[in-house]
Amino acid sequence: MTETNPPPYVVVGATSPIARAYAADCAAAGKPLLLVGRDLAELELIAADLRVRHRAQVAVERYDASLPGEGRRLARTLAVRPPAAVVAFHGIMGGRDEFAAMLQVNCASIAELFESVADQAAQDGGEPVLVAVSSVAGDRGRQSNYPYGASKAALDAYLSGLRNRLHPLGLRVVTVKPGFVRTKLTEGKVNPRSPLLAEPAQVAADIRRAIEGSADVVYTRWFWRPIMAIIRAIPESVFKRLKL
Amino acid sequence: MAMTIEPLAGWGRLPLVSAPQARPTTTGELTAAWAVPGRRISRGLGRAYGDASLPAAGGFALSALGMSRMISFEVATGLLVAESGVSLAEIIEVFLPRGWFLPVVPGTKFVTLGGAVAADIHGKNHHVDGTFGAHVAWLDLLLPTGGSLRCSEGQEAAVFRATIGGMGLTGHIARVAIRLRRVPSAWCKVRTLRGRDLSHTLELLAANDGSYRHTVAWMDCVAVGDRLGRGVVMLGNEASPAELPAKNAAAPHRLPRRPKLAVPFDLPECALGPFTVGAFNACYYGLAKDAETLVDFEKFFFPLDTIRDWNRIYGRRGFAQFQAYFPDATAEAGLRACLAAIGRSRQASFLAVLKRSGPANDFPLSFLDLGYTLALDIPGPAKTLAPLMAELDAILVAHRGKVYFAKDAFVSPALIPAMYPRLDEFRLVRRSLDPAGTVRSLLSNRLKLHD
Ligand SMILES: Cc1cc2nc3c(=O)[nH]c(=O)nc-3n(C[C@H](O)[C@H](O)[C@H](O)COP(=O)(O)OP(=O)(O)OC[C@H]3O[C@@H](n4cnc5c(N)ncnc54)[C@H](O)[C@@H]3O)c2cc1C
Ligand SMILES: NC(=O)c1ccc[n+]([C@@H]2O[C@H](COP(=O)([O-])OP(=O)(O)OC[C@H]3O[C@@H](n4cnc5c(N)ncnc54)[C@H](OP(=O)(O)O)[C@@H]3O)[C@@H](O)[C@H]2O)c1
Repeated sequence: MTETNPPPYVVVGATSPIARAYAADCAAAGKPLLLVGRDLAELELIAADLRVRHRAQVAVERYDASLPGEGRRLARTLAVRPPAAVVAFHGIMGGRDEFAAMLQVNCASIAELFESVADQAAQDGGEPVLVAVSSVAGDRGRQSNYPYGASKAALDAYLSGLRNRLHPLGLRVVTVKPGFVRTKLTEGKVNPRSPLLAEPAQVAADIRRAIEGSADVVYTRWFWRPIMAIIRAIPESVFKRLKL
Repeated sequence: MAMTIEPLAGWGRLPLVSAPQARPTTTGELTAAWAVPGRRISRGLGRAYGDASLPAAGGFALSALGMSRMISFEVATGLLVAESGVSLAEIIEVFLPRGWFLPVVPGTKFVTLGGAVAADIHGKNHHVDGTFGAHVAWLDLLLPTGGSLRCSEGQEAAVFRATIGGMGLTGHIARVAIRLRRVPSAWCKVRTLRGRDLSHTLELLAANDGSYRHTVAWMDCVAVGDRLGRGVVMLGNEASPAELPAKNAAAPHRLPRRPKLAVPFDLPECALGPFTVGAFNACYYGLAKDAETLVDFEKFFFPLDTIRDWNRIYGRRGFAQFQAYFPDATAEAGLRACLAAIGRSRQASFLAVLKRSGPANDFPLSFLDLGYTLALDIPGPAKTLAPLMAELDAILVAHRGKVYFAKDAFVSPALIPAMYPRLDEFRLVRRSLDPAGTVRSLLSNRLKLHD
């Protein structure tokens, strides 16, 4: 690790507004970036913007989380320049007929990627921080979007186990749980003036602080932690009657 | 493409409409939004005062704000290519510290590249550098009939020229290639002179055309009689690092930090009666000294930007801006008549800005030509404004004056062909690009810019 060639921050699902805000944060701080996603043309534009604005070092890489095997392939590409952090932003939200797709994109793809990156780190001595963006929806299944919630709950359990496994090796795993963020996922579903709705840049700043600090599980904005504590505490016999 | 119904208005908040707005953030979403059938108009930061960025009845607004990537910058030439939603504020933030500045800036930096091109904006340096459009190398335009077109002086020149100053009516400007200019520092050496009365103020502006790049006068709208048109004339040239105090000379392109103020809510209507305005003007006039000072770019070019959302000081009634151009020959008489009418109405304005303007360019709907341009705010509501606006219309007709589309919400449509003699040429290009007339705004409908 030299001054001229510091390890890159890998942003997966880099077209998400939250990911874009995070990448801009990194670029402004002079960190090199690898932007990963399935829409290469869009990634190239985002990369160009960061190069012009911040004179940042930015590369792009194609990756499709719906395809098994892509995570292992991506991890091999990363091995060329062991990363400082891998932050998985990608995710999809669908209904009851999209269970399998959500489990793949929101959980299995991340597991495949992180297992491969962790194995690689064990070999080359790298110390990547592994970060995945989950959701408060994973804290309790609600009738309005439990298929999505279930896929995020699976991700949470996976990350908790991985953290447990990697702790003795000195590798960190960070679970990020946003509430409502102003992106197309919430458009038309959450009142645009709701005080609960965070801006992508606020969430990105919380993620940066979590990576720089020592957090395991971060709620963003912070007030979702007490809100979700209350929601989790409601007895199931009561919860099943609620319209949530 | 999902759209939400939003309250939409220009900077004067007159008129205010409720209409769907598409906010694409990726190239795919932009293409999809543009393909939605129906009437549409592009919208930037909504700093045009009147109805230029508001969709015609039943139509939608296409916000450029989500598409704001800077795509390339060439150090050798200063050519910046960016998506149209980038604001001039962002460009300045990125490039001024590197020694580059926009060739032309309006009185606020919170306008988009697309809006700057569509209104062919002018700054305090029109007599030297012309309009914003003169520094545009090429544009990418989404066409009303579908597809996209790159145009420049050398390629599809008629479309290029109609789009610059075309108020969004030729299509959606997706990308702009603009030539930035190297500046020696982020400071201006400013000489401040007092104009005793209108003819003196005009004379001071005209006499300094050749020796100052940036000139502007603030006029006291409350002064009457033989003091009518008295003003503070500010003449600026960019300072070299050697002319800066030692503490700034080391980083000549760094702007001083200053706190941001905001007007958090609509002030009650009484806050801006004629007395307050008079006090403001008299105070401003009293402060000025015939001296040379160093002023940073932010304060020199964007004095109002230090107070965010200042348009709210007019409260819910909103306001209009009246901006008129007069040719040299009729300027003094025309301006005198305007100021007298405004004074008589006692609807005095917070702002009166007078600028010198240079020769016209080759963009058919561009606003300025050799002469002077006066801009001032007149508080609403619309029904008390209308009679004064009608009186001002008559003055414009009598003195070959013209209004600026980016500011107007009231002019009589019958006057437009005489004010804009190249309107038919514009209409021809517009019609060939958009035979079905899907791209329209409240402004273009009101002023019959289509046919
Ligand atoms: C305080 C203040 C000071 C000002 N000073 C000056 C000045 O000194 N000189 C001057 O010339 N102007 C001045 N203006 C006016 C302002 O520069 C123009 O109205 C400018 O067009 C605003 O840009 P915008 O991004 O806010 O565009 P909007 O107000 O949103 O739209 C303005 C016009 O541009 C069109 N447009 C916007 N984006 C696009 C696009 N991507 N593609 C196609 N069409 C588009 C719209 O359809 C509309 O017709 C001032 C305004 C304010 C509020
Ligand atoms: N918005 C919220 O309120 C909220 C709340 C809690 C959690 N989250 C989580 O935050 C993350 C970002 O979401 P967002 O709100 O920014 O929504 P978004 O704009 O829809 O972002 C989703 C991202 O996932 C990518 N993606 C989807 N499927 C993919 C695939 N098969 N392969 C690779 N990339 C794929 C998308 O890429 P394309 O551009 O190619 O589609 C996009 O970059 C998601 O994990 C989401 O679950 C969001």
